[in-house]
Amino acid sequence: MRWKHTPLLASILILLLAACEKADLHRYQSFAFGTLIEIKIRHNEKSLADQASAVLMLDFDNMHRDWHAWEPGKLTQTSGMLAKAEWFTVDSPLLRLIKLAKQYSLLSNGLFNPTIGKLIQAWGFQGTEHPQTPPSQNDIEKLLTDLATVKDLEIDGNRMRGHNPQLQLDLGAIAKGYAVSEGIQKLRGLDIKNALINAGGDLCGIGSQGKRPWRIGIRNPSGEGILASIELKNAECVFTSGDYERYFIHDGRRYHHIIDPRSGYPADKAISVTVLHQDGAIADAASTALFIAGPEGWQEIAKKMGISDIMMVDKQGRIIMSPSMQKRIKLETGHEDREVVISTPLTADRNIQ
Amino acid sequence: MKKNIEITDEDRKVAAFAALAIVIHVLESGFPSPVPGVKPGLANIITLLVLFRYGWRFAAWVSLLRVTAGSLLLGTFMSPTFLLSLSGALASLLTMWLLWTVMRRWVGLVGVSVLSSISHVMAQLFVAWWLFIPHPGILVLTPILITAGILFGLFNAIIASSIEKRLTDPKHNSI
Amino acid sequence: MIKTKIGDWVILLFSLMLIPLPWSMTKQQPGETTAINITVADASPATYSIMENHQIKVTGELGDSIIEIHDGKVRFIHSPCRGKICILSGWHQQSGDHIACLPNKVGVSLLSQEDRFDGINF
Repeated sequence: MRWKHTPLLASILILLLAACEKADLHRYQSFAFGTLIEIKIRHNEKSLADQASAVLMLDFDNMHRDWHAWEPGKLTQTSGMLAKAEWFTVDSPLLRLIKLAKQYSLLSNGLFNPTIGKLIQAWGFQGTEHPQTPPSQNDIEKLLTDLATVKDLEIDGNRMRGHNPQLQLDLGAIAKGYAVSEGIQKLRGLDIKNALINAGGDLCGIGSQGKRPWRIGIRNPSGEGILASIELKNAECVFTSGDYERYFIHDGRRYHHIIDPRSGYPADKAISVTVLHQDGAIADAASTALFIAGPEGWQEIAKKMGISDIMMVDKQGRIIMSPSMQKRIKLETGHEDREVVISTPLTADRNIQ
Repeated sequence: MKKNIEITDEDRKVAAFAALAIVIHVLESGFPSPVPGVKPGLANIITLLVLFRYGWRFAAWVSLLRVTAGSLLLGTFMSPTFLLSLSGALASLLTMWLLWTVMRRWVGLVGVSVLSSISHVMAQLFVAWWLFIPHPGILVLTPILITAGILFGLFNAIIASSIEKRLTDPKHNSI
Repeated sequence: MIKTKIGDWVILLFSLMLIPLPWSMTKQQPGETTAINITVADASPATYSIMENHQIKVTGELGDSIIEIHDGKVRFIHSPCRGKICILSGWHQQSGDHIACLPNKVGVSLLSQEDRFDGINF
């Protein structure tokens, strides 16, 4: 008697059941872009959905390789060229991404800073191995004295020149958002009108799930379970930056991966920031910038970046939301009686697209 | 009590009915089912007919021979499929025995067929859950299987009783 | 017509009346996780039950990761990565959620018959 086929049979059974329920919703899952990517596509042609998802996964892997902050590739080469302080040309997808990064960095008053690869490296948040100890106060001060900003990055057409030997690109806070939005564009080009891309917890969706809009649960940043839910309108992204995503504990203190370029230390004013926006790249960059800004300074940055839907969980566990976000967010049972602070309306400056 | 092995008339009848049941059992297994596990169990018609004509002991022989020989023919003997089949048959026979010995006066083909069909399904579900991985798929299937069991139990009873009617017709009275 | 006795009708009526019972008993709440998919590197996902408390050992790129299932919840209890982010993130039970040990390329997705959430943001 052999039972080893039973799980297989049971899985087939489950798949059959699932298949007859949602015939046109296709789900794909793969490791790409250095994270776990899930793509859901609603389309009556399964073969098209299969192909589209396979293409997307490959694209994500290519983008990840090209834009990697420390593994040798196009981005590290670019950083190398920038250090030489001479003009050079950059290929167009990367150029576009760097241009966007520069624009968003300026709008964020430098809180989102894609040129501080050296500082991130010193903290050990580059590399697959996890850091164990923070850099010394001395090292951080040294790095801060001549810290690069995007102003040291001169762009002219498709040419680029660096003005600071400290400048080292790290697009970690924008690349994923840009990539997911690119993926959505690609799906649109393939005539797929309903899809959801989940890249390790950051999502962009178009269309709907079928019976209802794409519904997203936002994980509780300070504990287990789900804090709130949100239903995506057509073409929207929801990105969260949190102190729980990558961190290490040293001498009882927790050091996470979102470094405040002003202090050189992990930003310590918020636990998480969730941003809702049509564009993944800005949602990604803004969630980082607003996280660093914290509950005091975020409104000014949000206005400048054109962000109107934002939710922040601060150190006290309070939930701070913009009025337009409050209309969209539904707190889960168990969280309804949490302290919620509604900010003044963010009449966003429309200086972005 | 017979001491030496001797093929009796009764044995021949058991063999004939069992053979019929086995053919139905094997044929039925060749048809794909829209939902895994949902089968009409047409071979049970034979068991029912035998129960009402010759009694429980006779029906038990036919049923167990069908399960054993059927699985040998299909190559599933001693496999999980066989154990599921056997557990269903045993539960079904137990129900038949109860109804036959205790409530024969009040219950006919329909009642026996429906109740034994339900016990058949329940026993299989229990064995599947207990022996195999308690997979959620089984939980999802439970209501479908029970509903199908009741409906097919009724269906089989209707067929069995129409056959029974022809059998009691003097023109065809050859068994 | 079929010959019937009183007991036939009693049994038949009772059975038909009881049909809704198993349907309502097994009806799942939307979002209730019923199974998990474990993806290892480039292999296609394997489905596991969540109804039974057990531990699953899978071998990823760095070594063995152990995933524990208990009372319908899932967590990593061992993984060869140094950060242990997957372990520190604790229990997960909402369908649509994912847990992953990225260095080891082991991902767990929580599945349900009917998702309450199509994706979990974090």
